Amino acid sequence: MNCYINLIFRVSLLLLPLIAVAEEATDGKDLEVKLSSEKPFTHVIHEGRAVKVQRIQDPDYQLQGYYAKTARKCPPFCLQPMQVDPQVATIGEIELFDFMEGKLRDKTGLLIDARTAEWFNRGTIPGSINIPFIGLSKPGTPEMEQALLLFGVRPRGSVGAISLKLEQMGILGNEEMTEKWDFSNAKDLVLWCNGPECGQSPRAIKGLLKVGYPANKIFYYRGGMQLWQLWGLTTVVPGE
Amino acid sequence: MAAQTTSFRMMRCVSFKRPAIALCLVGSLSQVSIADEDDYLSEISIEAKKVDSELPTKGESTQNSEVGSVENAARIAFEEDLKSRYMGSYTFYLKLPRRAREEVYEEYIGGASIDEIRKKIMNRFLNQ
Repeated sequence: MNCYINLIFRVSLLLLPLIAVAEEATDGKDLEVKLSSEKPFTHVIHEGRAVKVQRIQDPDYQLQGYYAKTARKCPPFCLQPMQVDPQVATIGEIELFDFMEGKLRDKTGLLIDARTAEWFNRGTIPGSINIPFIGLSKPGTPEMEQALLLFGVRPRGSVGAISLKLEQMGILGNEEMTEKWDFSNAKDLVLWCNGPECGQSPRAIKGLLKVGYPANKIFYYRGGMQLWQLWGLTTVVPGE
Repeated sequence: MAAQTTSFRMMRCVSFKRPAIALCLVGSLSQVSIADEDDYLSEISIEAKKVDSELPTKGESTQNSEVGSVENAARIAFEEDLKSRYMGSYTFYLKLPRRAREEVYEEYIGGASIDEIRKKIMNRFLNQ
């Protein structure tokens, strides 16, 4: 009897690679509208539970409501440039899906809805946390300091005058430190707001750059909620 | 207020030697900045009220929560995902005892990658 069990076990181990190939082939094949040619959908953890992110499957669906609007009063809701800062990368949806599956899941990155709470509460991109731009736009405020700690930035304590001078001369330390903060373990951040006409996340990004947050750890999803909606991607209402 | 003539193009410039005047100027500039920010925030607030109460793309697992508990809906979503993407792993997952399945799900909720989940399933299956 034991001999049979052993045989079945060994055969199943041999078949594992074949099963893996078969399951890759059936990967979301029932979806007509996939996230990308390789990715039918993805899962993201939002408020401690898994949310499936996919697109609306009706190819004839047309967006209705607020995010279907073509214009808002400008100023203040003016079209934003493609780049907030020459050193900060602007990303699209595909890069955002990769971020969700990689750094966000590994907890080395954060997806930040930089809009005010009243926008966030009406619906957000799954996996996002809400840090309104107003708390990130001014250096030295308690809100900014709390946010930096959440982002994995460490306060440096007192730095000696000689060390500081050597750092300023580029002889000591590294580029990811300021007089007050150590950004060497800072998380990658993707900031977004309502879309190309929204200035909330650009303001937050500019504030972060002011306190010395490394530009290569900041990403701007310019499409924001408007393009997320336009592509029929899943949203969540916080607390529901 | 003292005035002086500068060297470039004989332009008359106001001298800001008195700190009080400079402070007043900085103060008034920051007041303008705060007022701008307040205006922007109030415009944002007015605009937010125009958003529809329910977005058309509200997530599946949120809708499922009406049927059962939120936790159950998320668990079902996880199992469906595993089934559709990795049938082999799902088959082994179904053969695990209830506690081991819960352990796998808890790891998933904790943020483990799908590769880690699949390894965990096999580990639990082989070490039953």
